[in-house]
Amino acid sequence: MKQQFIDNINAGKFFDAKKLISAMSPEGMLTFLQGLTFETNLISIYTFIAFLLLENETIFLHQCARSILCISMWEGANAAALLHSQRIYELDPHDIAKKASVLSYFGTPDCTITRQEAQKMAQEILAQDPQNKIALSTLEFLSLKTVKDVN
Amino acid sequence: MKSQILHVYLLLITHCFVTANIIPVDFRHHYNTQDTPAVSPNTFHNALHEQSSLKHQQGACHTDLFQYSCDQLKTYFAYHNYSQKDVLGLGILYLSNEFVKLVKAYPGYELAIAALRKKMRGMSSFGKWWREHIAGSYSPQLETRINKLYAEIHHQQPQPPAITSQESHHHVHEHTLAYLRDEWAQCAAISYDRKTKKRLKKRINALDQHYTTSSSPPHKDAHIFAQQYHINLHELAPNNGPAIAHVLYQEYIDILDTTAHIPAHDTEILCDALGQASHIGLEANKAGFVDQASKLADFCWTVLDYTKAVGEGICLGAHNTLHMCAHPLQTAKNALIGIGVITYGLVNLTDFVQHAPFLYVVDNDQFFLRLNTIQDQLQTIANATTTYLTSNKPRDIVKDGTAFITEGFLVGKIVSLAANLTKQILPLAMQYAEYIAAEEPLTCLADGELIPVKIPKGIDVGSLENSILKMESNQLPTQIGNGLIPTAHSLEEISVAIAKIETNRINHILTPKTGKHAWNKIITGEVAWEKVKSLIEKVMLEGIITKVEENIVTKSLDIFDKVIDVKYIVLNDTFSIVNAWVRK
Repeated sequence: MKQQFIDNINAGKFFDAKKLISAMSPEGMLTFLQGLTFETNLISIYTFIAFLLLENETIFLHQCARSILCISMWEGANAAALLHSQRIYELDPHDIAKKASVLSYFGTPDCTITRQEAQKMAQEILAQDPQNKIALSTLEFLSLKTVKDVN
Repeated sequence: MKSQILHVYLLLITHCFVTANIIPVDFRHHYNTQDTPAVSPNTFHNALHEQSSLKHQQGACHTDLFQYSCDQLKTYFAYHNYSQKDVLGLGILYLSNEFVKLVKAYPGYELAIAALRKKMRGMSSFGKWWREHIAGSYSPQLETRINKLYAEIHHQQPQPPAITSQESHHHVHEHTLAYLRDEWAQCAAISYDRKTKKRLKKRINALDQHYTTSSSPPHKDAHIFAQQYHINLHELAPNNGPAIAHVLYQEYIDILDTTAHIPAHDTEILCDALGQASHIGLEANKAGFVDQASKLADFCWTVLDYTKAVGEGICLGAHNTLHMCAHPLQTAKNALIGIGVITYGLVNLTDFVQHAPFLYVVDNDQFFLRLNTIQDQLQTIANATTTYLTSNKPRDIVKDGTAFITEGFLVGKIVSLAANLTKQILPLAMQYAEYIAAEEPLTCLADGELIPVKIPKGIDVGSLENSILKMESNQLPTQIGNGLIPTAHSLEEISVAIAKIETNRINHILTPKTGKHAWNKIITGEVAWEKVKSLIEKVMLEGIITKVEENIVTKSLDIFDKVIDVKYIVLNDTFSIVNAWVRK
């Protein structure tokens, strides 16, 4: 099945590929796609998710796309994953954890979040969740950077 | 000048012949009795004269004392007012069985035999020749007889003659080969049942090796090296000791010979330690402290094993400064292993530390040094030796190389050796640790406590078995894990996961072209996978989980004010590392 799925997505037969995994649970599908990406590093897997997103944009599919990007070895994957995280937050703006997830990309390779944006975001998160670890560690990281920059 | 010397010589010869005329020629034929060793006629000349005395001139010499029975001799000496001391001093008469029977009853007999034996051993070749052919007070048969009598007193087999030259050294071994083997086997089985069989095996092997090579030339290099440390091998030969002492003596010869062949570069400390330890060991052996001599020999072999194993990779020079030399990292690690091995030897030698584990093993290929353990052990030895040396009066005598050895002095000398060696290698251990940390900042795991190492092939890890702590496959030993933040993965799992990272992913993590992963912020010089791998190991061991999303876990660790992130995916209960970088 795995090989058939790969053949389908490489050939652009996304409907056929979708049929192959339709019986899977969301968790099963995620694990399957992650494993496949880790093994093959095929960009067509991401293309397949993008196809599904075009069909029906959901948080789950964005999460799938994000995780695949994180696992892959493609250039700029982190920046793309950040875009998916931002879109997830946009789709569910009340979940502060999703905002923190966006913030977690600060400082990673290809990240486009500036220090000011990160600081502001962290403060916003802490306003709602004073114990949020990502926000706290980001502020700490920023203070470290500031000290080093001054020195 | 020459004429003066000739004159003196002629006077001496004249004196001897005059003296010889006093001795009756009748004595000559009486020496060849059935159970008395044959003596050449010259032996009689002045036979009773040398040690004493006018009494010979007055009468004794005109009497055929070799014909006398024990009672007759007794009466004779009483009649002529001989004291027991005078009688015991009549060296040549010891060839007479009746005389021996008489003097054996004297209280000073044993001392007299010992004195005679010592005197004969102390004679030079010329002195023997002179006494045998001119003075007539010595014969080889008499020496043999005295040796036999001495051996009877000490319930021993006749001892081989003193080692006065390398040739006689061979002679000793030829005559005592079988004797030593039997004796050694008994010692090994009964008196010296050591904790490790390997020690015995090594010693017996050394014995075998010695006998198989007994026809080869003597160890000239050993003698040369010994001279550098003021070791007089001839004086320290165990002439009267048990067989074990002879075996140990030969071992020390081998140790000195091996040490003499160690390249001098960067090995001053070790050569010094071996020279000093051998000296003390030989003294202990000579004085009969074979247990301590055995321990010191073990120490020497331990150091030699290490020295030979790492070869040129050794760098324990007194003048060595790590920052000056561009040693490969593994060389520094080897040196650290060496310090551990020496520390292990010192622990066994001094008993100041109870246990000496410094190596940890995950499997047959992976070892870890626990640096703090080595330093702690060295510090403990240093403190204990300092305390000992400052609180014991014999220390002043210990410093004197000519002091005779009692057990107290011997222990003092061993402690001095340990103190001196510890003083030299403790700062080196710290320097090496700094060097490794600087070159490979995060190679050291668990706050610098554990350093992964490859054991040089030549090092006999088997002999260090007792000092190796084996890690359980699923968890770190408690004493190692004390300083660690609890982690979901064992060191072994992490090592396996890192080993499974494929080449493309390694390249992706390193980002050699773009430098996006910013390893150059934390690694000086070339960003090599080995260095990055060590960082990943450290993060996986010590880092905290900062993010978990869709089966992907991020662990982060603050190192030198830089945050390193490592991402791994957990699928089917196994985890795989997918990415890592230094946060910008």
